[in-house]
Amino acid sequence: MKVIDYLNDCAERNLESLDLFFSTEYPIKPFDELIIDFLDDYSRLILRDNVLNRKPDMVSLGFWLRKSHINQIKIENDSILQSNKFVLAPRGAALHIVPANVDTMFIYSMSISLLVGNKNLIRLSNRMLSVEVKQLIKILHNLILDPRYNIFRIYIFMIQYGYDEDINNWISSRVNLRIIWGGDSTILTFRKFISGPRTKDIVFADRVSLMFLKSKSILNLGEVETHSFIKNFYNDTFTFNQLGCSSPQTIFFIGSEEEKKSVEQLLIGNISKYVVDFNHDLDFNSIASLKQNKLVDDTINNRINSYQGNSILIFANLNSFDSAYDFHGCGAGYFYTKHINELKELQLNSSPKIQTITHFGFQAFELDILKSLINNVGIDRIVPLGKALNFDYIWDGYNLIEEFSRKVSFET
Amino acid sequence: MPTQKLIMELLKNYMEIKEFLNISQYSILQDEKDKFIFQSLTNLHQHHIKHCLSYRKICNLSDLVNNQIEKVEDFPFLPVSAFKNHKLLSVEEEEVFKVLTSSGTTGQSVSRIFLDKETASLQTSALASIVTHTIGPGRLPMLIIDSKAIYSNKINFSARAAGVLGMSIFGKEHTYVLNENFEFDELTLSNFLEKFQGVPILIFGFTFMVWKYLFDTNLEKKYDLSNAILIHSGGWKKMIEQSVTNEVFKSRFNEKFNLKRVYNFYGMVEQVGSIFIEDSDGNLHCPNFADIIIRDPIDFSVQPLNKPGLIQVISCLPKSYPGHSILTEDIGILTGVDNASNGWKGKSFRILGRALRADLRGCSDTFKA
Repeated sequence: MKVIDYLNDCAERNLESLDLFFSTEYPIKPFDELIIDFLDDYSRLILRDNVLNRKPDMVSLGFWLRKSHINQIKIENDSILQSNKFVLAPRGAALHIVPANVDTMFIYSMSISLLVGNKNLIRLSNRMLSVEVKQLIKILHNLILDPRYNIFRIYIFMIQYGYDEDINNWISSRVNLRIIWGGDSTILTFRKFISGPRTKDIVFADRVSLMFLKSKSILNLGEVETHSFIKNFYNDTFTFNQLGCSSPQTIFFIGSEEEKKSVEQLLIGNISKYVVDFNHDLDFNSIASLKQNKLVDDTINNRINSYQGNSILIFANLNSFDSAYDFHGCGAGYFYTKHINELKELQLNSSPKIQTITHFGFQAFELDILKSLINNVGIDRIVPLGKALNFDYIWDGYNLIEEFSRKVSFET
Repeated sequence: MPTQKLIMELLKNYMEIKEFLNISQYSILQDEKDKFIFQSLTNLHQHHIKHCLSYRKICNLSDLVNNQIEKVEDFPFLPVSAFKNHKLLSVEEEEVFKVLTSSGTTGQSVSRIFLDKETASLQTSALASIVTHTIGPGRLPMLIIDSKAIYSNKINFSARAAGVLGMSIFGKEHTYVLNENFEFDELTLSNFLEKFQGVPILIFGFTFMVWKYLFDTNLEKKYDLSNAILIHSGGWKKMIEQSVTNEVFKSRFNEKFNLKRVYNFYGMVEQVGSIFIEDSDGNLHCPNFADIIIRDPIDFSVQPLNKPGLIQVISCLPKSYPGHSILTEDIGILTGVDNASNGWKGKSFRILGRALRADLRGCSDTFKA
């Protein structure tokens, strides 16, 4: 079974020959200093790289991998790393099925798994073609060549193969952990492949995210604050074409209907300028067609009753409050909107689909109201504007450090 | 042909589209034409609001139900994909007598256009008034650069078959130059040309077929097609990949076959009958009963001359479905108004390309083969 080995100049290799499937030894312990140093050096190389360090998502990744941050994670997980009931151990070999739309996800997934001492087989999509992805792989390749980090040659494999049932069955039956990013259909596909009886699956299903904005707070911002609000709004919504699972699809404007319209106008004016000024690489003819189609679909399907905006940014007003959380726009700046007078009037139908709530402009008592929503089956993250897309090891309701590892009970 | 004065006289009173089609094509100045199109579109707009719920909803969305429309450019437009995703009709289902579908590769959704007898007959008359303006009123011996096999797939009667069939009414002695296996048959070609030596003939085919099978084929003999009129249509994507522009296309046919009368046209299944045929300057030209507006892709404002944007196509024909104003995914520029070198009045334009279907990748997009 042939696969393409991305860490070795995209050479074609026999899947069966990958060391991952031979050695059963796991010499590196969870949070071993060697791993932390390795990730720290990787971080430095990313932040120093001229291709990568001008992309906000790459810079975030760089900072995430830094020693000081990893040590912070270590402290936060002290209770499981220093337990007197059990010892944390690697789960073994992990298969990562990573999303094609978020260029940094494969590195986050690999790094957390590596941190707990797993060996990693990362299946890259053939649509991960960005310069940044290639650069991340190249830097990693060079780093592993360093004699000090040679051991990671048997810990990290980045491969690509087509839709091949045999390969998927073969790998699934041999790994201890399958980490499946990429939504419902990928999960269902992988459940069909035969995995080992003790293989554990961590799956990340289709999710939808929301934004809550306090209209008055925005309208009262000074010039400098408005600028920073616009920048954060842009980063949280336009990154990944608004199609990440954490990218807000529906915005709830808390305040009057007039205030909602004013905030929308403010955003339309400023974001349009921001997009044009930053020469954002958008094909406006295609985006225009995409959004016009979506507007017509949503209108005919009775989802929306009015809209404001242009092809860069569209605010489509929802017809009713019900099931708004389920709606997913076409991306690239298409939002469903609804206004509520006060946050306490909010009756958000419970949905397991809701992942992230991004908020701006609320006081502590209002945030408490948002917090009270988490007892529903959905909502796994509540974060301030500017952090919608920041990845963390607590994700989709899991502590990935725990999920990717084993707890071995140990008594003397 | 009615004089300009008579036309203006006629336009003052409301004219039925049927009468309007009798006026010689390309004879109306844009200002006058706008009046007729506005009047005609007002009627169609009200008709579709009344008879098509989806159209009414779309007009409601933009607050366009209650007459804030002052100019042709104020009418709403439907994106062309709306006909793929929704069943849009403005007549009772029993009155639908033909459903046209667009060509599409497997897995792609296709447009469905619902025609009643009235709209279908208008389309035929409209097409005839444009084509006969170019080729003359008589039926000419017709050479088709395609195969009869295009008709054999009854379930999926393709746009290509519909296109050939639609043009066939302007010819006689229809001869298909490709055999059932879609192979070029030179004997058929030479027999046809021998039979109709010195007589005007009509050649029709899709642009890439005409190029591939008539021009780009090694012929044993040399042929003179100076008595032929070649009409062709279809996307230019495949042609541009081979660096064949419309100008190159025409000059090559002239060099090889002494074929001078070559006309490209632009049209779509969503507005059958409204075709935009090439004028003497090589630009596509709007007939009397149809128009185009080039739209800025960001705010949909009307683009001035020579500024590229999405092409909105307007037609006075569609009554059984709300297709009188459509935003295409084609990118083009307005090249002139009332100033074609052959004296044709109205707007002319060029196609520059197509909006690439934005392939936005989502989080659930990890494992498609």
